[in-house]
Amino acid sequence: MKTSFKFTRRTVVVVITVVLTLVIPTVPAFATHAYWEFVKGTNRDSTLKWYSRNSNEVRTLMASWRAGSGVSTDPCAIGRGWLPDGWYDSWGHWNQYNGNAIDGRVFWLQNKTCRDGTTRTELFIHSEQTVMNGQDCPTSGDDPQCWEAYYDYESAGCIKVAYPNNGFPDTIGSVHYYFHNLAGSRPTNQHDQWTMSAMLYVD
Amino acid sequence: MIDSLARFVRIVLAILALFGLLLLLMPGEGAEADPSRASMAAGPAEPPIPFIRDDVITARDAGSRARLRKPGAATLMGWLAPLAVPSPDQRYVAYSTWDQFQPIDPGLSYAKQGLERGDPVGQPTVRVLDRATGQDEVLEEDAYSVAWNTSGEFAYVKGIDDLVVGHSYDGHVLVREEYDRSPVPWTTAPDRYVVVQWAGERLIAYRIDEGEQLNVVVFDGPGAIRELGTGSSLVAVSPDRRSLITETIDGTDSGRGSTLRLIDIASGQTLATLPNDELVDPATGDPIPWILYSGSWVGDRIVAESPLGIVVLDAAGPSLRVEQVLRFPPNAFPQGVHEPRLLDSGNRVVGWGPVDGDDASGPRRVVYVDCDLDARHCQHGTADGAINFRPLFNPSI
Repeated sequence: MKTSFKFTRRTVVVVITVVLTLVIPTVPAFATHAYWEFVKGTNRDSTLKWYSRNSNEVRTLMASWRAGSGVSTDPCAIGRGWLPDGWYDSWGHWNQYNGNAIDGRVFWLQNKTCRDGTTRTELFIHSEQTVMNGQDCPTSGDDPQCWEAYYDYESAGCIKVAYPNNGFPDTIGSVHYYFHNLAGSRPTNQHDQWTMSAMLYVD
Repeated sequence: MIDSLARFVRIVLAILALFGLLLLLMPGEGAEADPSRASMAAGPAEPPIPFIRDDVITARDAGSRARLRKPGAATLMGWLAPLAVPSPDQRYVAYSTWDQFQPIDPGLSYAKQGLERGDPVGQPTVRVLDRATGQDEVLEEDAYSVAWNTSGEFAYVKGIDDLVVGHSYDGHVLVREEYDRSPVPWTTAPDRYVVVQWAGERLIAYRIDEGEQLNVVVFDGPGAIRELGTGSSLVAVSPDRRSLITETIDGTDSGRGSTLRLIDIASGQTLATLPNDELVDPATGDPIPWILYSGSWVGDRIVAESPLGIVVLDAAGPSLRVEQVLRFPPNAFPQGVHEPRLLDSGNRVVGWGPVDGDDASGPRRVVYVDCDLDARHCQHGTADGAINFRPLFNPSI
């Protein structure tokens, strides 16, 4: 008996769906929310991780990137130390933040008190980029909207991630993608001030 | 069996002999110490200059001791500025405090503790102690960081509100002709400020941008603010109050580190620069990764904190060079020695530092350290778990 296989539209859709499911990471079933974890190593070489967590509080590591914070390991040193340990709410996110010191895709973190009572403020997750998410590298030195070298992982306290320039990966793009698309059941489509509880754990 | 036992004993004896030989070859107590490190010894419990220890002013000089109505707290300024400032005549002490409106677990996020956007967290307050009478009164609520001039002018930051969840803490810089007169705003718009000290008639402060970027600013008068260093911190102001040293961390082809600039305050002109590739320990050649703020300047000598220890700079010229680095024994001060103060014509330095690392839990344990720069010998106090242990000093006089 002669058999034949027809590439119907339905067949094509099924094939594509199967391929995409295998290739693109997805939030595990029944995930309640996702969050970051910043694992301290050195000021220039620490790790920012993205976890999903289900209703049974079981977490799954979904992504991991190199990140940095501060120039000193004293979390009480305003403007110089890395972040204090503990949980942080996110207070907002923007794609085209136009600040005095930071720009572009940024995630605003809550204030946090360190062990001597000093409160760290104005903390963000960000990279070095322009408002429109590009690069501005006018000098051969350290330009604030230009990702030049490993020293750019240092900061006044914020968590810094790389921008795809000078051979570095597109970490800010990846962090941004995961935040919007793989955050579990929590809506993350806003671009403004709003609170998402317990979005970052620093240890 | 006897042969085996004898062989075993010979092997053991050989191992012991080898171990003994290694012990003889190892450096003993009489071996030469690292000349770049200071020797340390336990000193008196009380610091050599007055310190605030939470709600007490402690010092070896009994006449300097006092009790405060509230514990000093540097919640919104850390050691960017002095926690407690004596008046020019030394009668009064102005100090910053903090009222927490409810207990907050620093390990949890605000939302997880039921704190929502707009909820008040706490309030800074400036208080003034009259040492002569013992009276300790509130000078201003929602205020912190004090600068008290030789002429009597009294400056501080006044917040536009309490510290509130979801908001930056913005405020105005206010100045009183005398501390008990009415304040006049020197800023036209609120921002995140920390007042540091007077330099003559000018006021030196920080304006803090997002990302906690520090910017050194100078007020020439009400509404007249200039930036002296973007992304910079203040290392020290000269004894004649005409110049100051800023530190900026930036990157160059050779890496990244602090660049120091000696700046004329009146004109904003850079008088001298010490670039980061020249910031090295002259004894060892080791690069000094960065210099921290809140150092001290006497004569031509400046001391400042660094991850290597206390850096001693020379500013004769005017120029800037590293004279020496006073290193401490390994792990003595894992978070550094903060706010080094030069005493005795610049031969002695007193600072403070935590003895715990960042991974320790519970209240910080902090000690004073008192060093003779010529002898390279230091004494230290005893850690007692005070939350705030900070020197009293007035950099404006």
